[in-house]
Amino acid sequence: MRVLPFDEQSFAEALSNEHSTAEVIRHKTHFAYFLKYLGDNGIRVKTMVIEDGYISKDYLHDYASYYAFCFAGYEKICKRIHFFSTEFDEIALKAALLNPAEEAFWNGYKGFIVSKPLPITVIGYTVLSVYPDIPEVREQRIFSALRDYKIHFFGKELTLKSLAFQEQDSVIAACATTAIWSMLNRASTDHHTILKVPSEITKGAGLSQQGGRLFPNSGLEIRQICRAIINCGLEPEVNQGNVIPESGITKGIKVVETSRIKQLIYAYERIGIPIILCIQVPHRNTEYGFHAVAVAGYKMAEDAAVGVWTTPFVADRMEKFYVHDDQFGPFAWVKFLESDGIESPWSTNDEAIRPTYVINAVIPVYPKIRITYENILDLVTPLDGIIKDAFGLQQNDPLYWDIKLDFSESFKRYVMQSSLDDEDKLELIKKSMPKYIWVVTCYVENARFFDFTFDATGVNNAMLGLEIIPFATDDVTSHFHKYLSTWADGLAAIFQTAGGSKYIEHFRTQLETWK
Amino acid sequence: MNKLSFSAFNKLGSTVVSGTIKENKENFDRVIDDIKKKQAEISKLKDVDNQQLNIVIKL
Repeated sequence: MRVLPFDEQSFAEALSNEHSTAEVIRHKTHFAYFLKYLGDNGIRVKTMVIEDGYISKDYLHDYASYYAFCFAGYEKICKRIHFFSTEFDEIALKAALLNPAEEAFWNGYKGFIVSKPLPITVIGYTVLSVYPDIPEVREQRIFSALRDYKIHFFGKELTLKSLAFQEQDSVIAACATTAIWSMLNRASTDHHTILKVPSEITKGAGLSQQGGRLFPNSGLEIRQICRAIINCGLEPEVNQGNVIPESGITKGIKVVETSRIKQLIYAYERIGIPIILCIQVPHRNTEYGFHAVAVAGYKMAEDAAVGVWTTPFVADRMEKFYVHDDQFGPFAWVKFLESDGIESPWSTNDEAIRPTYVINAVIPVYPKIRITYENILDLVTPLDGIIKDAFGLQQNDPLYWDIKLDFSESFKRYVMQSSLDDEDKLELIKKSMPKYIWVVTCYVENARFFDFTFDATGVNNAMLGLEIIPFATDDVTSHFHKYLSTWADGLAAIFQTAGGSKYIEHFRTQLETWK
Repeated sequence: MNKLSFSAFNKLGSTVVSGTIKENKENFDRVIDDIKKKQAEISKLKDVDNQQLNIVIKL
């Protein structure tokens, strides 16, 4: 156990090993990223505690699968570097360990990095706290991919909310495997999902189209990413790129529009499973390369809750999102650009600051979730037109849509906090609902208009509607009911699923219960 | 918090009167056409490019 002040030199030495000197570590992109993240503009680390002789389960599996069979004698024992935001020396630490009830001391704990005894790729299992909690942005920053980690620090059990990170070792795992591993760290809090170590994830991806060996691993195709996800007990929803940008990307590659990226991150956030984004990044000054990251959270624009917006989706008010990028570090922020590009750490590190593009978004979901965002968008599109016509609104009038997949239990908690009458609240929470539901909220300017809920576990050809909750005055609700009754025959055909003709009748019946 | 009322729609320029549905078939058909056009645009986005699924993600 060594206690050191946090500074550039001590940190480089702490990460180094017999294969990688402190000088080598200093040239890694991770080192620059972590210096910033752990420094005064990040989580404000002041002191490091080095735990030598640490056994990391993830590394041990990879060691047994690969490194143990190398001729060179790689170590199987790691070291763990713990970080604190307070200044103290070894005497103070020993005093705190002897008196573990002293909570003030332990509140300064900010997490750890496991340093693996490998050449270059030393960043192993890493659990670090997120950016400091600032009251002004608390409502805007959403990190729903976090989970509790129990950390055993020399006999003291500490709990930290985070999402685990590690860099690829380029042998057992490339970037896609590492992004899946971070995703599984969160998804496995549900007991049906298996948290595999990187070597197991790569094995689960199976053969590529071209065949070839899995280890040393030189990357995964998008199909292999999907297979690896399925083998962990989840289902992948693939959202492909659909536009070809004017410049700056390999010819013919389609990218996902920024508006769609925002909508997807926002829609699936409540379930908490990080989305895997396959991105095309500026690389080696003239080229582009393909990479994968896991989305850990996002930040809405400062005035997201007020004002008139030009887009119909609340999600479009997203300002940036945070990713675990195994070539940089955890919670790296990514900004949206005016074009269909994004500004990732790859862009900011590029001499010409070329944009990054999302080419595919792979959304891992629990198998019981069968209805996709696109399925719900197919229902929202006609609803938007119907409501605008019913209330005499024009195309650009401020009618906004908030679309989220949610747990019905969480929706019921929201109902209890809403402005509904107590009787209505009780009526809603006692209803039997599927575990997963789509909650679609319609706003006019900043006023809540309707909540529509849909069964996320059903069959897309069926009528998926569950509840309509009106928040407007009674005459507004009655007017909508009357509109639906007047045009019922004409509206029946515009929901383009086999069960589409039943939606209008469902909406009418639901609204009658609120009269 | 105040509930959404007809005055909010009127402020936005709507001339709709509570409980009065204008049964203008021509206008209604136009609304349906606009919805169908939007649906057609969205369905174009669902086209799958198999080639893109073969890209190797490797950096």
